[in-house]
Amino acid sequence: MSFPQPQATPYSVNNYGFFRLNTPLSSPGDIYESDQGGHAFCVGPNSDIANVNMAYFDDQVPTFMQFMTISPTRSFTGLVNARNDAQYVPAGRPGRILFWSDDIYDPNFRPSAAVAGDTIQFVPPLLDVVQYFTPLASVVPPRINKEFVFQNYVVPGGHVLYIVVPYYGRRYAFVNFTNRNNVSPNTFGISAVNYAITDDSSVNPFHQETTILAPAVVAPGASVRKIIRATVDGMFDALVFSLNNGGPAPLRIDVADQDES
Amino acid sequence: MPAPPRSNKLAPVSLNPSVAQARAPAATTGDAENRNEVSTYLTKIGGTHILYNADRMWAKVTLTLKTAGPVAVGQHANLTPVLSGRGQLLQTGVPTAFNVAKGHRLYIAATSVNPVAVLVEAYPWLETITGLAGAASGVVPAAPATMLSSGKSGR
Repeated sequence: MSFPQPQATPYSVNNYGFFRLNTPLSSPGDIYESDQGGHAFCVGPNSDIANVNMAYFDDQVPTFMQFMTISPTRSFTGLVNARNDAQYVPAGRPGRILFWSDDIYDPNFRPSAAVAGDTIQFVPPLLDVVQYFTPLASVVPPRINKEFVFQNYVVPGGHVLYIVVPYYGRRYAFVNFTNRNNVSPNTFGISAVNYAITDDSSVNPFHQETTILAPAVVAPGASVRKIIRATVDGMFDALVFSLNNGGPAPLRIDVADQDES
Repeated sequence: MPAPPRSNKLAPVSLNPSVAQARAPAATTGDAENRNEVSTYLTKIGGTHILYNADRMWAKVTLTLKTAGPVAVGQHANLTPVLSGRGQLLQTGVPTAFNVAKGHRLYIAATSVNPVAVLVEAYPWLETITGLAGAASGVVPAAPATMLSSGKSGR
């Protein structure tokens, strides 16, 4: 999580019509809070997380904590009070509105093909939630089509670099990789992963990996293009790109919630 | 020679300090009394706080909640818990007007920091009317204890 955590009250005091919780995830256990009531809630435009859990104070629940999930396909409109004067039980914490990712994120994930000496870099997923302070008739919550661009890499000699890009809830991706190193080839591959709650130190973690594009040599000056569709390849938590040369090798990844075909 | 007619329409005022009496209304209304007050009040977390103190004159107080709240407003000194119904909950973006009589207060309570637009419109003419009404009723009789102390019977 970013520190300090974004606070809702400064948005209220400064007369913004909304509170935006926009923060990178550092662990799947990050929980965020808002001490302001809201009239509408939706996933923000820059969110990599697709499903966001929300908890609010409800007198009719034994723990006083009621749950809801919002996503790019389902926002929520309706007044939800932040009950700062009441407490959840048994935690005894104030009855504020809580947010956390419903999607699993595991920064300790390592591809099953990785060996000692390989390196891995994560693009930390952004959790973006917008809470509106005034009534809205409806909220249109689709996320933006994101672009991830890489060009030069730090690859240990004789080893592989893995780049993990969030792909939660996305249905389409376009990948374009070009080896601009005029001397050395670059072995490029794409796989996908669905995270599981698991012990990463075990011999066989429970993460599910799918090969999208088997690693293959890309000659100097050559390009690789790949389109990933939910209807063809499936839906994944993250895409994993592997390469073994520092480049330059532009890698452009466009992801979208809707299939662009 | 007959006394000249009184030009003052107000009832005579007793100079006896032991006799209660209505306060004479102000002869004129100054600019300060006619001026509207426009401000934004930021609610405080917990407790009941005075939003407007009508110690000088009647006023119409219009409140507009800018965020979601909840914010309760009322004339009871203790409005908490905010959702208890002891006060009226403000609705977001909906101006709500209260006529606050002289000598009364308007209280506010919230569980979070919320901006509330405040418009205070004074009623100087209402002050005059109430003063005239009190003066027209004449001198208010003193309490029985006062009369007994002067040697008169309460019967």
